[in-house]
Amino acid sequence: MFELDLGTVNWARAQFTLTAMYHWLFVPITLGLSFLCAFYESIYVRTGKEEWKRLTKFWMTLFGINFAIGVATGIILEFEFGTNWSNYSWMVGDIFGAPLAIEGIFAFFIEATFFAVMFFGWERTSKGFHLFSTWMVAIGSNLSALWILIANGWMQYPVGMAFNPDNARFEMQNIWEVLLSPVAVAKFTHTTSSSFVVGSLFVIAVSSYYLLKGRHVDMAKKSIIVATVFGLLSSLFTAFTGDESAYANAYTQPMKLAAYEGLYTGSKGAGIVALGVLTSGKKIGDGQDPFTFEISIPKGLSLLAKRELNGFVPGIEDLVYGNKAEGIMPVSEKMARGKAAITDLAAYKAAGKAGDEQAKTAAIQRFKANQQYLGFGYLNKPEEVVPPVASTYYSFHFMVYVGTFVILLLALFLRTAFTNKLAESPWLLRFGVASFFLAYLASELGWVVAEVGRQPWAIQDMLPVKMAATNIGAGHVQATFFIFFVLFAVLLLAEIKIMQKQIKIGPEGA
Amino acid sequence: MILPIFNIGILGSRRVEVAMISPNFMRFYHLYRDGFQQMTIGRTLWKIIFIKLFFMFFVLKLFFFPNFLSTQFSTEQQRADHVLMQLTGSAGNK
Repeated sequence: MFELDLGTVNWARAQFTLTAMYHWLFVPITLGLSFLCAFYESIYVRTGKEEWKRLTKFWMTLFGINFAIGVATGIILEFEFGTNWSNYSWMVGDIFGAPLAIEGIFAFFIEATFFAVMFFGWERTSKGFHLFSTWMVAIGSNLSALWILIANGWMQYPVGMAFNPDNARFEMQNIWEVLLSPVAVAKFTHTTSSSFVVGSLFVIAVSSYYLLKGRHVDMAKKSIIVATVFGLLSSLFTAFTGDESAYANAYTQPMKLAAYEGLYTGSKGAGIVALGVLTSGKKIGDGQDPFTFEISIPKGLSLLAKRELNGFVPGIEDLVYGNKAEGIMPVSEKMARGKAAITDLAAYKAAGKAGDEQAKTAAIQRFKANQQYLGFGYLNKPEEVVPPVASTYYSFHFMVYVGTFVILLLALFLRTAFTNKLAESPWLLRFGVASFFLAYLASELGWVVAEVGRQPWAIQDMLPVKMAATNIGAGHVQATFFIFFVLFAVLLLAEIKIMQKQIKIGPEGA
Repeated sequence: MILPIFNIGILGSRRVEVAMISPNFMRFYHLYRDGFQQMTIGRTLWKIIFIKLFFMFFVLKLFFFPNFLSTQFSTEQQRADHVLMQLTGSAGNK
């Protein structure tokens, strides 16, 4: 009864995915490289050595290229909200308004002032003020990311709000609950620290290329040492925040956790899959083994999710069909309550129109009793709450493998750099070039885990994606999808071409 | 009302000299002016930024991405009612 044409919804989804993933090509480098520029310039100011200034200017130029091509690509997402996701956009306006407005002000303020000083002010301002500006760009860019990540965290774990049945909006009740929710904190720290790793690997990749070619050797070595220390510390912190993120998932989005661990049947003392291949065509409740091959660490998942060796971790089937012993309500029951909430919302609205205050009060009381299940009322069958398991599982595991590999690689780079043997280790330098692309892929896949893993929800448990969309024709969304595809391809080619040219020129062109 | 006025150079044969504003503002202005003049790769980047912004705001936004609720309804109450209808299914099948 409530369903939209899935063609439109899926095209809108595809368009949003394309735009978000394209936007994310630029963000990690901006977040990571901005801090590295600040580190390099700090060393220049402290030592007064011109080679550090030259080096800083070179990395700033690459930062500028990345920033210029990527700037405003995120605004397209806001266009899409208004056109393709109007129900959602309306409903979350009160929650997202403040964070996005703060982000806009931050971005404008920083771009208009400190960026100008950072790029144009080398000879016009004091060393101290220039350094301050560079640090402000780094801090500001990262704070700018904070607000959008808080908004995303709220969608994954909607707290600090109340649904207003008069205007169909989620309204902010407690901004601190929104800002400091465990999901928002984990999301911000994990996203930014992983971006620092990507930024560091960008510097290492370009510097490794120079060392392999025997060009700008001194600059490349200096760049690598700082980037390796920053990258290694960040990658260790990324592992820590990733663990915190999984722990938060266990309580706020247990279905997502079960999906990325491929856990169909819950258990106490659940093992964590270190390596495994999912059974093709596996369906919930079909009794097939979820894995054709697996190597697990006993009790690992219980330790990760519950911080105890024998804690119960629910699987997909427990979450769908319920588990009385563990107090998990079946989705069918949540759907019944959700449908009751929808009926009561309609009754509240009808009573308001009829001017029947008594009926209105009764309807809102009934609605409030079930409103936490509102989103379930739009589902057609309980199995709809299961996200695509294979893409979530493989994305998560690839991300973890790359994260572990990067920690080892950076430790090796650090050791080799400090023993001054980088130029004699071409195999390591080749790994240095390749690892940047791996880290990029892992960073994008992190978003696949976060967003695919929370399907079917636009707002966890409150609003499924199919109800968030605008009822417009699929043809319109298809057309804009392909326009974006072409636009993004052209911009990406421009970025790669300009970046390549600048890297070939080297620090002389900075 | 006090307008920010500054020296804008030579206009015809007459020097257009106007009241000074704060020296800090002028330094800021010169920072931008000289910075833009001295740019090398930056000019290409600015071209890309302007073309991109023009395409985004004057083509995409204007012709392809109207705000659905703003264009279809004129008041906040109408927009709220529309979304409520979608949520409660009163609008029937979509």
